[in-house]
Amino acid sequence: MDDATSPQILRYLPIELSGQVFGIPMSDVVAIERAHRDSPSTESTSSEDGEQVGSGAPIVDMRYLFLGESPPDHGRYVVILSAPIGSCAVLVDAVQPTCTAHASVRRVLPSLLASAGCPFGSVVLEHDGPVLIIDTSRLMERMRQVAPELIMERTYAA
Amino acid sequence: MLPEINKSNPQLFVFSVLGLPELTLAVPLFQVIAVATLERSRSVPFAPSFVVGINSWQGEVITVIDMATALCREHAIQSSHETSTSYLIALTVANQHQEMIAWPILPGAHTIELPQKVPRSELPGHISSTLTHAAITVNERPHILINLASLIPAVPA
Repeated sequence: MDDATSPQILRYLPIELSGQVFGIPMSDVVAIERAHRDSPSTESTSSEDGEQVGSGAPIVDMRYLFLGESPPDHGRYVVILSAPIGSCAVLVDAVQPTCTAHASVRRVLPSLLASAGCPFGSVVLEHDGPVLIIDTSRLMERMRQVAPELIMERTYAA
Repeated sequence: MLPEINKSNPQLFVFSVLGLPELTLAVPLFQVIAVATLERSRSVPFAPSFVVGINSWQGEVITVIDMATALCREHAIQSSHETSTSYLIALTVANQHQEMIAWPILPGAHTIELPQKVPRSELPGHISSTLTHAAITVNERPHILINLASLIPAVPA
């Protein structure tokens, strides 16, 4: 087993929301697309295994969901996520190159936050500050509470 | 009930916070890890209103809170952290789990020794009793003893 596939290593996609960086485990990322400027839509997006994903899917504006802020008018990306409970598409300001985090810099989410239902699974201590790693299933549960139609029951192979 | 600080460690760390500068607050000294400056905290979506964000200190994750808002949950105080550069970093144990919590404090924090007899005083009406052990009188001044463990709800095993 090489380093990249070791369970000790977390590969995550850094996403930007209003200047703050969050991480999404790459194991939950199916596809990344640039959003259309005028009307963000996933349209028909090909995943890595060639499956058509996201057609007509509702897109969750993460900037609004997380920070309550209206979206900027540029640089938006759609990330298609998949977890055992379903799939969804999220709109983010920007994506950064994927990162790897060794177990030595990963910490559990403080129970003060976990018990409050915050949709994060862990924290990675990067050199420029802690990065909250999204727990995709918990995020979808949150979304489902807000609007059940946001979550597609279909799942896609990562 | 007062915590068992009288027996194991008779010292308290005494401080005040933005938003409630008129109150003298205290935690057992053994819970205090450091008073330090912190970088800007990262906000945590869906966190309780009294949580400012997360930060890191010496390789550990810290939950940064607004103590004034935590103490007055029904009277949420919007404390500005711009003018405070010192954070009290404390350790709490809840659900058999240690966690570091920090909050900004005003200048003038110090330690005191608890006298043998500690008279009780009245807890101000706007202060949440769930986050306090008791209000006590030391040196003729009321001190509110903070119960940090109560910040963390019981989590099923």
